Amino acid sequence: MRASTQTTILGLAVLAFSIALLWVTLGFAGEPRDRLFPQIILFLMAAVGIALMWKGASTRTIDERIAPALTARVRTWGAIALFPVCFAYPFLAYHIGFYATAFVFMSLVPLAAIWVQEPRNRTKPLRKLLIATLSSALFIAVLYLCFWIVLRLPLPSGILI
Amino acid sequence: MDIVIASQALILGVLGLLAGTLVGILPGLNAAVGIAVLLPFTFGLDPVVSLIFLGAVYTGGVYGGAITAILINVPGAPSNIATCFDGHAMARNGRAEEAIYFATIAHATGGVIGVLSLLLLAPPLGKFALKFGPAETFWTYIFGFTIVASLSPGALLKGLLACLFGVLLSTVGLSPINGALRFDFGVTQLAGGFDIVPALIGLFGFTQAVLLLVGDQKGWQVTYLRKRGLFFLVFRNLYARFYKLVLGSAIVGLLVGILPGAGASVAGLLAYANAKNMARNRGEFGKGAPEGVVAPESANSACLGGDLIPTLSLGIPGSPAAGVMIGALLVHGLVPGPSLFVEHASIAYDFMYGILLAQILLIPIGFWVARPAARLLIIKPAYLGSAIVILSVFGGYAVANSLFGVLTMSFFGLIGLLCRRLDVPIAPLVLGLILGTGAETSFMTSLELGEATGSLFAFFFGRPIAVVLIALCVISLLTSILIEYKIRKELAVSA
Repeated sequence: MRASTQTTILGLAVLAFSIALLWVTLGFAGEPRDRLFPQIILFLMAAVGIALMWKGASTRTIDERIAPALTARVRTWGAIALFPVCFAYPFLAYHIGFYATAFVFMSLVPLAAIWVQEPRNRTKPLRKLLIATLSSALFIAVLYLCFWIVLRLPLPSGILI
Repeated sequence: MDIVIASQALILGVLGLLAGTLVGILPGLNAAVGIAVLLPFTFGLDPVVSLIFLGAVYTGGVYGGAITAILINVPGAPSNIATCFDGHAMARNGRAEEAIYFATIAHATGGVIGVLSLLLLAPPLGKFALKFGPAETFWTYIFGFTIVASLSPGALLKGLLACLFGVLLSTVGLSPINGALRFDFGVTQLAGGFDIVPALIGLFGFTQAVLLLVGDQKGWQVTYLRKRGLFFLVFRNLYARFYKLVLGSAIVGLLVGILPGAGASVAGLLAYANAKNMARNRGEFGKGAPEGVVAPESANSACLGGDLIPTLSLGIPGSPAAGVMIGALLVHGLVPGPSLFVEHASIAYDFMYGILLAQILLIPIGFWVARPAARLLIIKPAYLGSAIVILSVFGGYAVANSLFGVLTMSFFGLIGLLCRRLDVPIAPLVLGLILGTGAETSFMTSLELGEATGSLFAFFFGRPIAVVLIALCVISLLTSILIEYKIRKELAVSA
């Protein structure tokens, strides 16, 4: 996608977002003064959105740069799958247990990332898994020491630890 | 400071320097990420010890990137771009160790100059700011917003958008005026708004960690040999031949650092360009001239002191890392701004002296740590990314002892990723998030006082300090519009 097109779409999205939230501000309880400042900010955002759309349209003929796609530098679909894993991990950590999920995450996710991104580096998988597991265990042990013993900050255990 | 706190501060200062240097060395990580991720570890510490630790992380983080820039031609942070030009050239010519020593000593010297300036300028600036009324305070915030937004050349609109979005996010929760709930969408935890610490961890730590996981998995194998006596030779050489360059570059860094949001990347490049223009051996720049390492590193380090001047005295962060330091101050119950030097003067001064000590300790630590730390470059980014994801989640929870902190961290991580992909700068967003509540409070207070005095216009636009600040806002906006116009003209010509 060209950079100018991306700018235009961003401007449109910002304008729609600002209008939607302006509508939301009308439903605020309390005095009109409570919604004044957010409304001013949203009006300014809408103006910036319109300016972005204008900029995108007016530079279309001269700005031929290709903007990086949302998945730029992510070579394969396997790597894209790491995004939801990273966002699911915090939620799972709370319900299953911080330390258990951290151990599994640290052992498997880097290997998966390297496996996906470097097809030539798929030799000796069991050895790499063993090293990753041991390193992960050491890392988690240090974290446990820091948080539980030094900082005295217990983290929720969830179903496991 | 009593003896126990002082010894804790010294030990943690050294640890902070080491941690910061390691963070700075690793490509993709920088001082802001280091401070954000390590901040939760300081919750149980004395405020002074905590701030000295984080200040040392900041110091080491800015320095560490120079090592990567010299050894593998990859800047550890944007502030080290200029160091790559001559630093890596020296490494290719077999003078890697010499380049690192020049960078270390110049960095420490520039840093000492920067922190001494901080000690001299921040308290009087803070006292001057006590004369600010709500209107002046409001325009100070607006000036900070316009400066930060305008420092993304060619992306003024995106900078403004990021800033406004940050301010909008700061309005979530209870109104500071009448306590009305805003943008809570029925979520009880949003009544208090977004906690700044998990937000910063998400924007800096989590975002970068995910990018490391899904990006190139290249590590670097780097070794270099140590030559006896070279350190003292470089030490003597630097002060004998380059003392004027170090001083001049430090002043450049200091002035750039004072501008909110400018950051060390601008300082390093400006100092390099200045050094090249003033040098007699201009032709050697880019081929391994030591001046090409000394100038940017001195400026980078002095910039740290400059960043902290508006941060501590006005509560306006001079850089993204300084913005995270504001989060650290807030966590420990210290509100940066004019009142800091009145209500918590001893803590503020202890913090500044702690950073001064960190800058001096950088010389022995840099000497010992640089070579073994360079071996960390072999670690695949996926492992670093995983470790930071885990630390971000732990840190997000540790702030509020609830899942909401973790969710806040993830939400802002998503925002950070979107910003990176859409080329929207993050620094203005951070500034808007941190300063938004203050800007609203000062705006609404000015509105009510202006109406009470019967002249709203005069209250906002008629006071002398306010007029100066408005003029500065207009100048910064006009300058950036002019730069945008020039860039578009060049695009049109080259198309």
